[in-house]
Amino acid sequence: MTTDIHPLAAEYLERLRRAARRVPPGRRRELLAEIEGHLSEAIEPGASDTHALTVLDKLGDPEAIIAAEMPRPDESPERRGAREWAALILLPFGGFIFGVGWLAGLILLWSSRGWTTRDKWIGTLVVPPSAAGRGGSARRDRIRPSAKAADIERRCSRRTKNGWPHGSARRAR
Amino acid sequence: VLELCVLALLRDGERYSYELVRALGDADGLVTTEGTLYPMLGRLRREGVVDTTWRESPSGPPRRYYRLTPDGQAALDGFVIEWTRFRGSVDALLGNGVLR
Repeated sequence: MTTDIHPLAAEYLERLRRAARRVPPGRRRELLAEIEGHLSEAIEPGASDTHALTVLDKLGDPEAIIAAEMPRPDESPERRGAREWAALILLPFGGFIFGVGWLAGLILLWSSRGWTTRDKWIGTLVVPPSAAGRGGSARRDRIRPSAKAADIERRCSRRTKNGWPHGSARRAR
Repeated sequence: VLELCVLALLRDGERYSYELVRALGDADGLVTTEGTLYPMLGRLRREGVVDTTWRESPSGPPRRYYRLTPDGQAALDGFVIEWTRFRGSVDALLGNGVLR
């Protein structure tokens, strides 16, 4: 990354990195890049310690910055709540519930902020046989719905581990 | 209010993060710790009121440039109207000596 950096700025970044461990990976990467940019703009590698300390003091305590970065309870698109679990259960199996469960699952899927549009399309287009509404075929394909469920489940958990599902590709450029 | 000040700073065109943070930091009484502005910029990106591009800088690491999205412009326009009304009311009360 940055090669020339004032020793005090390097020390500050190290403290920030340690404190940032509890931030979701995508957000952590972005925040560290921004703060690193700030430090290299504000402190020349050969600047005086006094100047460096003034800049760092204005920037504030690393813990305070991390506290501000932590997701608020009202914005947690990468977490799965009751809505997401209900969608995961209803999409593959909902067809058995009077045929409308699947539709309910679809509504929950599209109204959730926990998945990207691409994931939502996959969840929509992979229609389990149970949703076809024919009792006979649903019984014959009993194995397949659970395979679909496992597939959707796998996609979601991978997304979650990556951190932000929203716009991460856009921000990466 | 700070969020809307960022939008206001972007009204005349894009700026990179450090410029934004320094402009807010230098405004009297607005910001106590500049570092906490970066998480706020992240929130504005996620809310879709600003859009960003990374670009090389003549010196040092690449800079992240921010600009208003149509949503951001709309939020700013709404805020300017509200703020003007709010300020007018408070000024009128102060001017009349009601709050002295």
